[in-house]
Amino acid sequence: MKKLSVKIWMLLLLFIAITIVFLVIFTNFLYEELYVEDTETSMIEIAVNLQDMYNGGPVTNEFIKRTEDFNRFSDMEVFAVRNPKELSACLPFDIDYESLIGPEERVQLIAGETVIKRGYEKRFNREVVSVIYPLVDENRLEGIIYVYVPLTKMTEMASKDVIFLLATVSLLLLLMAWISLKTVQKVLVPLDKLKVAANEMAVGNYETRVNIKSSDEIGELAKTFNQMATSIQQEDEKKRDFLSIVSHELRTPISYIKGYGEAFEQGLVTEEKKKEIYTLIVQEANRMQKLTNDLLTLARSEHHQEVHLTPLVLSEVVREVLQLVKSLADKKHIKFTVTIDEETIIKADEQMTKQILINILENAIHYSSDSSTIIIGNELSKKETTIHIKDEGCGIAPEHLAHITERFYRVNKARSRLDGGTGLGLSIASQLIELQKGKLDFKSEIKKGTVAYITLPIWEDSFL
Amino acid sequence: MKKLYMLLLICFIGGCSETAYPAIPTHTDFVASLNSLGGSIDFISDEAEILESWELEEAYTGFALVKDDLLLLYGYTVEQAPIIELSTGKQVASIDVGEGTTYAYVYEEKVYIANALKNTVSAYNIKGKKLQASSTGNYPMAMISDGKHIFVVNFKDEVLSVLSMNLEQVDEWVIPTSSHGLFIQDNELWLGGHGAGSSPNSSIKRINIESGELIGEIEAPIMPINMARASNGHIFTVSHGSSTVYELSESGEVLNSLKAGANPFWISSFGESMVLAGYDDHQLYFIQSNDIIKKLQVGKGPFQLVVREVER
Repeated sequence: MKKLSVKIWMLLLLFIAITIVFLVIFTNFLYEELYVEDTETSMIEIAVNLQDMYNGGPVTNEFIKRTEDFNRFSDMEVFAVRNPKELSACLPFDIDYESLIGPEERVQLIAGETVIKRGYEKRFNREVVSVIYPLVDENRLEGIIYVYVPLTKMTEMASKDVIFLLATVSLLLLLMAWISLKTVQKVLVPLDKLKVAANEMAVGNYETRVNIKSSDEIGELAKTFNQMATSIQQEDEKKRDFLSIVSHELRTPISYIKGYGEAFEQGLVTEEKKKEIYTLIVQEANRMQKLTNDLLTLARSEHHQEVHLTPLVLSEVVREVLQLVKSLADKKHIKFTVTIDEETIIKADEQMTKQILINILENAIHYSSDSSTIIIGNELSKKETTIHIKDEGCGIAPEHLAHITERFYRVNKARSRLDGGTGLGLSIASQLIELQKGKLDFKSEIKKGTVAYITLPIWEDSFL
Repeated sequence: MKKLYMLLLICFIGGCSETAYPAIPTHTDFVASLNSLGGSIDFISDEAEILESWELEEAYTGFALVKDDLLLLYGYTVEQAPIIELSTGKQVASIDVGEGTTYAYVYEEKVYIANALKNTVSAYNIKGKKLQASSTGNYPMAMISDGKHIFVVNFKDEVLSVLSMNLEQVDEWVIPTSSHGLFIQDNELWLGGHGAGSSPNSSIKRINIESGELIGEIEAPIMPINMARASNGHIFTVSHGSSTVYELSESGEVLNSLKAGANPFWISSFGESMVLAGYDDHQLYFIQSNDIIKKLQVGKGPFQLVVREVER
């Protein structure tokens, strides 16, 4: 298989060759058509001027001399002929003489017509353009005015110095070939670099980057490649982090359960401590269950879980969800103020929507202080509705706000286990909203609280 | 119905196979012009009016009167030379001359044919039977006889062949190449021509008819190639290069000259007039007393003239 560079180079060479051939043909054409035509016109002018000087009767010596005088001022060859032999006057006789004009030309000339010829003329042994004007007196062809210019053809020029021309053209071609080869190589070197980098990426070296500075398409490609490499690298890092966090999160409850189990095995637990330890073991097991459930939900939402969009009465959904989180809220004596529009029908997957609201509300409850209020309301726009859930919690600092939907992201690292969350709730909520073509936003003020904005499409038929 | 078909068939086979030319009445005087470009013959009366025109089917380049009522046609590319009876317009004989015929000369009902492909002169009787033949120089063409010898100009050669009347080789005289036009004046053979190479000939050579010696020249520029004797005994010559007719005395002095015709190749005496054939302008010129008295448009390219003056 030929390399791309060779192919492009050969194409370039072909174009160069075609251009040279075309130029030769075109130059020849221009030469023939323009130069020769122009020459013909000036020749005709000269011939007409000379013809005007002829007053009939035999062509005199003086006339011939005056015609020849014209040669001194003109770069054309001009002469007058009166020799009947040259004029094909002996036509019916088979004369052993090559006359200047042929039988057909003689007929034309007798009729007073001009003869214009282009081609090889034996008499001059070369290609010429000739214009012949008749000198006619009472049907008698007394003579002719012959004007000609040698056609120094390109080929004729070349034939003089074929080797020089061939060498020049060959050198030019070689030079062109060399320049085009170098250019093609220069253009294609970045592609080679990209190929090497892609291979590096393929074997897992995600830190590979391409160093191409050009601002052309290949430069753009290199930039995109580098962006892609960065993304892959980041994803890879996230994956590692995720795995280490997951294993860490799982290990903690397992170590607890294992520790207490061993204590039981060795009879180290006193009777009065047993009840407390059983509670702890169940708590840790619940925690593990929740974590694995969350992980499963996350995995599903990442794999483009099927979405069943149906019309849902938003207020209904919110009420059902509030029932589910009521026990959690009651523990902290948190109250809900709901101002959901009863008419709003959203276009969403019921299970997913409930999961979203549960996760966000649980989060709000976790970070709210005791006896505070969580306000739930919604606003309608033309095609969607935005549900806002406002708590009176500790708030989130702006530098953390952008990251809170990341998996296992915790604002307060120290509160990892004590708050009971898995660190996946908002991440799951975010992904489920995205699946339903919605949006999730947060606004927060430290010490004042956080507002979560869930935007979901509404069921448009509800307005019909 | 069947009979009608038979009649048509007989008409087709018998009547239409033999093409006849328009007849020329036996007692009519005429000058005939062979128009080689147009392929026709025009017969012109002494009133300078066209009597009849023949459209020729072959590329005939020359013709000659064999007898008053018999006209021989020939052409360089034509293998047969037919003899046409003028009074009926029908072909009475045909001479198998082969390709290459350049000239025919008739002397006492004997037809001499020059062939430039075979370089021969052959003699035939009027039935078309070949009598004798002789080889000549390169490209035999113009011929004339004084009754004792027949003089043959070899157009592309530098010799004139002198043959006996029975076509035996008698002598060879040196002449310029491209010579044409013969005339016998007393014991002199007058010879015109185009001139060798690029230089055109300007004179008529006077050659001793016995010895072949060059006696002198008559200046008649340019390219005198045909001569004819007028009724007053003067000799008229036509120079086609300058389209000039010269009137010469019997001793060879130029008496008059007249610009006439466009590239004329032939002059003949007809009644009181000299008739000139202008090849390029397709006209016949009737000249009397150094004046053109009449011009007559004929077919294209009148090249040769034949005159019949029937004794009344």
